[in-house]
Amino acid sequence: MPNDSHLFENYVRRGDLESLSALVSRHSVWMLALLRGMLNSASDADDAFQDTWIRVIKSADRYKGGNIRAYLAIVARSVAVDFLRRRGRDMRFEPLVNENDEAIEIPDSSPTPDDRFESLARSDDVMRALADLPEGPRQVFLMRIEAELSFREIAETMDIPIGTALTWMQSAKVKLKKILGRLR
Amino acid sequence: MMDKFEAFIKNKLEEGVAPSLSSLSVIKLAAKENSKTRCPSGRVRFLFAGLVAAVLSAIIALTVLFQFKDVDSREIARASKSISHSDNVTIQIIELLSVNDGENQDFTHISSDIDRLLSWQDAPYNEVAYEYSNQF
Repeated sequence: MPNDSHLFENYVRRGDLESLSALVSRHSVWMLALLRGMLNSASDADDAFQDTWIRVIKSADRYKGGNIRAYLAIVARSVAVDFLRRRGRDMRFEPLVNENDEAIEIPDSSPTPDDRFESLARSDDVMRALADLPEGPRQVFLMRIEAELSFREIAETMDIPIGTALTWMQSAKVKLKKILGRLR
Repeated sequence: MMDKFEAFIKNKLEEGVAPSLSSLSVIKLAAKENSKTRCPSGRVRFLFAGLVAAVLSAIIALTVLFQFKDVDSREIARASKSISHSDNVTIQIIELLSVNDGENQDFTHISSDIDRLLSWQDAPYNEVAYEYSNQF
């Protein structure tokens, strides 16, 4: 089975639509989940999904090889941020670093063990819980679990220190557990 | 590596998620349009390559031609200079023509040139040299 880079190059160099189609279908689920999580709207996520691929297609020359999932995630996030800006949503990140740019330790105060969520939470609950997260931690969390980016890649993409990315990830998990615990 | 909680959230987020058919159609259309502009057909590419090759060949040919022309002009100019300082016009003119013999095989033309230039022996040296060099 050809890898992602081959599929993309087949499209860029030979105009092979089958290769692009295979790439879209291979990356559609996680990308849509990422966009749904960021935009908290299935219809906006679908529009953003479409815009992401159009942007990828039109700027295919910019792809210089490497992890295509990370490349797609960066474009998808950028499209989602544009959507949020248009929506006029407050995009300010919560400061979770001190004045020395050091991560503030957030204790995991969740009283509920992880296992309990599995049988109780539904997809809608997760969406609602994510919507309650501050923008920064939510993006870091989604980029981490859906796009599977490293913390370094996340930090570069979001233009934040790596310590902040790590802190936001931890904070997102703690808050999600709390929110899901309340929704239960 | 994803922990259990992260994997659980990921699974929940991806539950029942699929792009709409209209989105997929738009993406396909955009890809098709883009590949038209990005990837020309084989025939167009062949014609374009042929055109580029023809232009490059012409440039190379012209460069070579002008290089030889420059050599001739330089030799003639050098010879013209020596004529202008010589008392023996006829000998200098013949020498001048012999420089050009290797390049110009039209001996009839050279002979007539010699005859014509010899008939100008009374003309000032510089004028004769100038007239001859302008012919090339």
